[in-house]
Amino acid sequence: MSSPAIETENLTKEYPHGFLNLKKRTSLEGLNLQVEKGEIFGFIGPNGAGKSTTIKLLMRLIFPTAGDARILGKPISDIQMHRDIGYLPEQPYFYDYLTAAELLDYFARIHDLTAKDRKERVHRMLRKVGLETAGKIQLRKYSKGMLQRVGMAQAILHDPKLVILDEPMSGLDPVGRREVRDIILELKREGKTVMFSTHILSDAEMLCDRVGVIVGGKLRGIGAPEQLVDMKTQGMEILFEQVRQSSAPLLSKATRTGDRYRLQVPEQELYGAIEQLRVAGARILSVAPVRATLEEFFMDLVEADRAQAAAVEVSGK
Amino acid sequence: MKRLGVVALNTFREAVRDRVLYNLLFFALVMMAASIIAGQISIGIEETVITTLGLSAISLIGLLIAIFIGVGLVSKEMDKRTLYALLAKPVRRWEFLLGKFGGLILTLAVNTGRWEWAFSWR
Repeated sequence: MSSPAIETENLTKEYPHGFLNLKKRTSLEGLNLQVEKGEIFGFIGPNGAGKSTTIKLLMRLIFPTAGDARILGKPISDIQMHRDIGYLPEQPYFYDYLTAAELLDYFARIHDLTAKDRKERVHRMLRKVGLETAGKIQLRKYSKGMLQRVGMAQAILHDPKLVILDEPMSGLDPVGRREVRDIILELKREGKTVMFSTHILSDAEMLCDRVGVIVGGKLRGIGAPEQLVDMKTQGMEILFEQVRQSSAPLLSKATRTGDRYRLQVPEQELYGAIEQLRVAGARILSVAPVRATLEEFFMDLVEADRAQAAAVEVSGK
Repeated sequence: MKRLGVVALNTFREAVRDRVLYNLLFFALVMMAASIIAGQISIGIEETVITTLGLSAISLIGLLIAIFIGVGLVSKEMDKRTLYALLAKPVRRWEFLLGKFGGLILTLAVNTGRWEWAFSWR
């Protein structure tokens, strides 16, 4: 059996702070996580939840207080495993005295690519992220979105087996986000593993095979997006217009926007409601199930966490 | 080991493209002019005065470059977070540090070489 792409065991990070660094603030608490090969794994959580901390620990930029992790079956202390990983830092910033092409060439040299390979890859990557015309401009003149694209290019430059992206969508316009999504999906088609962190839930819902939700340094849920949220429909929503008989009792429950009405009913009352609307002469535009979204799941967790923190604070006094 | 050289060359490139270096170049030209004047007012020992002035200029400028570039060599990379992308690649910490140091040495060597050429025009 092949080993998972990423495997963490009780990964913990504490930051010392306060007078003489005597106090400890736990940023990540006993994370146990497995990311399988070939999947797109979304790591979601609010700001300060420990997403970046986890990724930095995996990339060996900071060192764990306790616990261990393995990437592609190798312990993270093994420098050679970095050959197979691409990493996009959060809010990337690169040597601003270099042009995009020079920067990519520099990283390609670090990866020991041959001169011919370097030239070809740099050109291909610039084209892939839509910067082929800006390749000869110094990075100091780049916008935030362009830097994000350069970051993406350097992450996939050396054809890694695992790509870890820290907030790849931040700072990008809708077109840029779409392009990043396409790149991520393309990586999956090529059989690579992608792990990315985000706080934009719709992106995670759209792309990920599995997501992990982290709140307050603890993993709160892991699984396919549709497993995490209760997929039982919470009711049906009917959208209709052109009501001749405005006295229908259902109308009082509906919300009106312009000429259209929106009505939410429990599933078992659906046909009754439709019948009433038919009698009232309404034209039904759509009937759709109302589902809990990842966002609601997420909000519940965050609220629970805040309530708990508040309770601790009160009891502490 | 090869990566050390790559980091060093990039550090050298940063120094070359940094404007601090051009200011020092201007300063050096002023020193050269000063050496001519000093040579003219020192009757009989022009050669000694110019040599001494030139050598002290080389050493002083070398010192300034070493301080100005050296001080930000690693801290700037940490502050600007340019280090993150690099250390996530197969680069060891010591390769990075020695590479930066090597880049500084290279910058100083090239500079000293250039002054020597400039002061030996006669």
